[in-house]
Amino acid sequence: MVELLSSILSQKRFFLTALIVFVLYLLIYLAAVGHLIFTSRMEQAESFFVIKILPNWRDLLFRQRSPFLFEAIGVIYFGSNIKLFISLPNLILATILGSLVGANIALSHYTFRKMGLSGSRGIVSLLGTIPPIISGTVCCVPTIVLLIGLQLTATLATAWSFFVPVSIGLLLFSIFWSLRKIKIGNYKTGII
Amino acid sequence: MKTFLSGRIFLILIIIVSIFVVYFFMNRSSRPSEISEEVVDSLKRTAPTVSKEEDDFLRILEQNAVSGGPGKDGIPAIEKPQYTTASEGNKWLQPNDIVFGVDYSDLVAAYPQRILVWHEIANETLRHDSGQAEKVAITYCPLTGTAIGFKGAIVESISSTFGVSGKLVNSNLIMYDRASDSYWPQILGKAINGAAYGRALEEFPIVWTTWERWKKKYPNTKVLSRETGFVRNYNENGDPYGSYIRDDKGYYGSDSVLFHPINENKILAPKTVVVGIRDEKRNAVAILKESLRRQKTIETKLGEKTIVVTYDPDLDFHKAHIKENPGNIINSFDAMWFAWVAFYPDTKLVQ
Repeated sequence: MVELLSSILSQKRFFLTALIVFVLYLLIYLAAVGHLIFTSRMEQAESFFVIKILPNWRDLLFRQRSPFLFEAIGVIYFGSNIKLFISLPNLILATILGSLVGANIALSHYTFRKMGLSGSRGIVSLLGTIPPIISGTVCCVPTIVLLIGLQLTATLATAWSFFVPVSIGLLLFSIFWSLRKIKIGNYKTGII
Repeated sequence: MKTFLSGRIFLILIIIVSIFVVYFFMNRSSRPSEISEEVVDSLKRTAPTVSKEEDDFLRILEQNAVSGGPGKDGIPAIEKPQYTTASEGNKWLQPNDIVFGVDYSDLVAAYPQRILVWHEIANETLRHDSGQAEKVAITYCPLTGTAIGFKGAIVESISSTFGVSGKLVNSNLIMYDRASDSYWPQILGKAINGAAYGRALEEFPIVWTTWERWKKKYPNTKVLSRETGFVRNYNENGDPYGSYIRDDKGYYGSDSVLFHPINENKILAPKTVVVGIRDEKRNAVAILKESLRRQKTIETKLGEKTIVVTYDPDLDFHKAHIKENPGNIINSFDAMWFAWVAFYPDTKLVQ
């Protein structure tokens, strides 16, 4: 399985697909959890690229705000309108999720191009990418609850805690399933 | 070689995920406990007598406390507030930005809503001329639109700072004290569990006003700095719930509430602003803020007592006192109607 994934991703076309999706997902995830901010009003910036780290960063490095959302320890300013909060655990999580989503899409792309299979299953597999995006919480409540005006119950609040690990599980399963299908397809068509 | 490397990457991924999962379950609360058994014992020994009716009421509140999403201290209180001058505040605050003004003892300061929406509590220690230190908490709950000042003394000899428990009741912030870990819904100002069960905190007024109005009245005011010790979006558009300034008010202007309240009364729209006044016997009065603006002075009954509520047009705020004793100020604060009536279903409403 691993060598099959590796051989697919070593092809430039599919690697590019994975990379583009990875970058896009990373940005969407960070924006969704409020760690990538686009400000309309100009803030005074000393230069285009400024990094500020909190003096108490050691206390905050692994401090959780909500399940799987960690405190930022600093900010990177890109000009006057873009801010990126620096949180190492969140960046690791975003990288893991982005890689898994990228791999999923690249596999869907592969099945579509090489085997003529419908990409719909690949799109379905992306359902697993949604939970982490909506898992971000603001002050008191999950962001999505505010956006759609949902009334939060204790059960829903508890379920929220498991969004990220469930999502990682779903994405891993989806990769495994796609690879299995490709392997069977390759065997039938005599590619392997 | 490639296969070997890919296999390793997968393994590393799985290990990292496992570490996160384990870390999450082992560290639900990241703040070290400050509870002392001595304090807890002392509070229990001197526990107040709670009537059956009061006991039922407090128990219902405790049973209806729900998680809002973030865990304990997930919304971090500001522990050592830093301040700037008013002219420094002018550089980033808009004239119509909401601030919570405090004029208590020798503390004259503005706490911008843009900052407190992310922290909900600012713990401050006042140094009095006598050399005594007094802990106070400036608290704000965005979901119920309430700002209340609390003195930290649970009893005379035990004073505490407060944190955000992560729980809500009737959408209202439940604070916890760091001395006994008892839970205190902000609007109630009374402990609903723990060693402090049934005790009430003393309050001081917080003025809900705009930056322009506050600095006009208090030109030498301090302003809470954005250097809070945490990274948050304190920008003009940073309030995740909506805005009190823009036309699109978001949560503040909609009729929907996020958590089902214990008691409902639809005589007013849920987010209508009322001036809430209550006493220790749970007598409560809600005055429609718009009516108070029009009438300037309103006289009404709070239990057996007659109270007078006066409107201050300079600050767009109010003060309440016992009619017979104008020096006897009772705390009054703005609140969203749905939250007020959820805590005080028998409230009198003055329209």
